[in-house]
Amino acid sequence: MDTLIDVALVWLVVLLGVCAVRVVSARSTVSRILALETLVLVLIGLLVLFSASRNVSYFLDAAFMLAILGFVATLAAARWWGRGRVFG
Amino acid sequence: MDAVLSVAAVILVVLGLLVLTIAVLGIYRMPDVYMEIQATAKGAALGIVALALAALLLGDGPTIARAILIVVFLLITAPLSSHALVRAAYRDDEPMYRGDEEDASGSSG
Repeated sequence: MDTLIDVALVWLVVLLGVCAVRVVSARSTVSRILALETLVLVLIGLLVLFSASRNVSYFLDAAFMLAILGFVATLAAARWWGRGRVFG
Repeated sequence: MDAVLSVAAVILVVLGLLVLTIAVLGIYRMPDVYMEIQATAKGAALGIVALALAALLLGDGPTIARAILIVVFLLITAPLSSHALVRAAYRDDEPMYRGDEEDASGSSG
């Protein structure tokens, strides 16, 4: 079980790196926003798994705040790029 | 009971990793932005839901409450943010993949 979680953590870090490469090399701005959102989601998965392996719950607080931040940031960036303003 | 829980947690962790990997791969392999969004929107959220369920099976009271909160929040917000992204791509006149390259059968589309 511990070995599996260690391997899973390393694998998620690799996925994080792959997403970061995509953020830099994306073809369009929307694709770049999408890669950033995916990066945040992989980071949330990393925190959730870390909290499961260490048996402490406060990493999940960080994961939840990161989920809120990622959602609001994606929404704001998509609205700004699509219609030129965030509200209205 | 404990053994059953940890076997279920192992299965959920492996499933979550698999789905997250497919989601990240989808960004690279899909031919246009719309397909990238539909591959990632479902994959990433569901992968994290599987990981959070594994944490829920292994953890104590506070962990369970927070894991349920994260699962519910992600299941609500993932479709909303992908919808906003698709609208932004459409208004930005992102090109759509027409599928008009010939495949091995010689027919197009």
